[in-house]
Amino acid sequence: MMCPMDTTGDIESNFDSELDCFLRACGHDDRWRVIEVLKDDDATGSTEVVVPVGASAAHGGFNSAVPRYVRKVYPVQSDGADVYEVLQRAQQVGLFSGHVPKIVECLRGPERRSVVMEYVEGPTLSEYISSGNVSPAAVKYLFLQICMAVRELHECINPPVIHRDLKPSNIIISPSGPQLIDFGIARLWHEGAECDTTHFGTRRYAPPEQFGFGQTSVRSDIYALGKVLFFCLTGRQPPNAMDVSSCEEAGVAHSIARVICKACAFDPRERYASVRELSSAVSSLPQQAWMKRPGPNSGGLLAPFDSMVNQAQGALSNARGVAGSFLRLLRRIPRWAGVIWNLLLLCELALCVMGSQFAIFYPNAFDSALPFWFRVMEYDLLTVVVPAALVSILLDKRGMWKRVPVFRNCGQLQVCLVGTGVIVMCFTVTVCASLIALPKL
Amino acid sequence: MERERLTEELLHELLDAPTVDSFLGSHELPDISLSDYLQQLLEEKHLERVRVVRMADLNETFGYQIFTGQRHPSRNKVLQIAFAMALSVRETNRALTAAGVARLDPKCRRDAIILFCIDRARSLQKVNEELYRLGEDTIC
Repeated sequence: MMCPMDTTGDIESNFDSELDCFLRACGHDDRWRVIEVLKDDDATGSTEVVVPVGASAAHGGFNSAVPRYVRKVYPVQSDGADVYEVLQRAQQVGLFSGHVPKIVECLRGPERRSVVMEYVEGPTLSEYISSGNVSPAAVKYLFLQICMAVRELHECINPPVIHRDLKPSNIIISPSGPQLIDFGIARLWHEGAECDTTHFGTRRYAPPEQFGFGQTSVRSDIYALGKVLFFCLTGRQPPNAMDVSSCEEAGVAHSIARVICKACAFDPRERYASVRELSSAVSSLPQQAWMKRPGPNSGGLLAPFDSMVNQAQGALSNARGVAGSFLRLLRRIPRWAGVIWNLLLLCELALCVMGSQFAIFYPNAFDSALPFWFRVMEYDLLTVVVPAALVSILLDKRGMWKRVPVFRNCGQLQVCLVGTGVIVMCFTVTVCASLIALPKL
Repeated sequence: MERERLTEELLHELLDAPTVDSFLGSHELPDISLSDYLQQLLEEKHLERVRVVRMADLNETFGYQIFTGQRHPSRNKVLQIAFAMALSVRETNRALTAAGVARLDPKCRRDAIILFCIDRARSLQKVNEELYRLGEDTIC
């Protein structure tokens, strides 16, 4: 006897899939919920941390156990998503061994292209090295793993994928090894092409040809790898131009310095021809070359300075990490709360302005003895300009970055620095003016 | 009256209209109050007001007042009534217009989900489930 088929579940799953198709037809292909916006720019697109809609709804909000993904959205005219599509196809046929995040989805819409990939947990290479707990043997092993990751891009795909933005912040040290991220300016190499489109990469790590002097090739990534090796060994940002003596001054052994300088030669033809050659050269270096050694100037007057610089760089990196975590926490605050916060700040600023004008034109007994110009300067600087600077730092500027001309071309750090500078200047000017005005009383 | 399907043509017309006003304007619908329109629909579909109010999950008194024109419901309340009366897409949009609220616009993701569920004659409970599943605000 045939059992009756349970079609209820089939009907509902068909309904759900038809609804998804309908939503795509209407232009709503979003099966992801955004939990954090990392970058949002009209010209280059956005980068968001997302979770699957069903997962977040089922867990009632953000849940650290829910797998996170990174979604990059590009304008349709941008070619930023091209390489991700190539990587996805390569992953689907099993060409990669896991040094690139798994590309989950690449979509093309009428106005935008989006790429969703796994969120790689772990510190960046810069955070990892700056923590200071990396032994020389670990540095060597780590660098060879990074070379293996780049070799896969160059050798497992035809034409090769040139990353073009290799740097410590684009390498994540995950439990499964280093992962390369951010292929936004990566390109497929084409024989005979004269030059690439104009995406310059990060100045310190990008080779000269990436600034329009020719086409980037695998040797461009080798240049960046040389700089990365310098960073791994010294914990410092590499200089723009590399030479053996500056490497040795930074504490790099002579033999390793020569490898780095060959990788970072100005002329691409003088660099290693492939990452395989670079890896071989690094592997064949003597073991004692990897032991931490002091630079030529250490042990003398500059030794305390060197260690202070290292500590400061480490502290700065830690501070950046803490600041980044703090900012991510702030971004979780709902927008409506940010609006209320902004209104409160602006009300307080208005009170300060009104109070200062009252104090200027209706001074108390002490203030009336002060010169008028001093009263105006003191109250306008300390109770108008300083609060305005504080308010500009503390404002919830989400949504304002593009609309308000003042904020359009700067980030939160720049606003903080400028605001702090204004506050310091106001206090300095007030103190100087009081030295002039007060002795006369 | 044969149930109207959300055809490709209707969807394209809705999506391509610069505003849904122009879509409805092109179909020359006369002005009518919400209460009158709902009464008209009750008669056409041979439904009872009490039953509709119950199925719409509305308070009995409030539901009565909507049908008599004493109260002006919110958009979600009109949608609850639309699902309870199994209205078509056109009828639902006309009821929303009569209530003085925005019509269902497929350019809005939430509205697109509601449109689809109306078209497929799904219940109020089902549309709430789909809205919740897809991370949108439910109707009630």
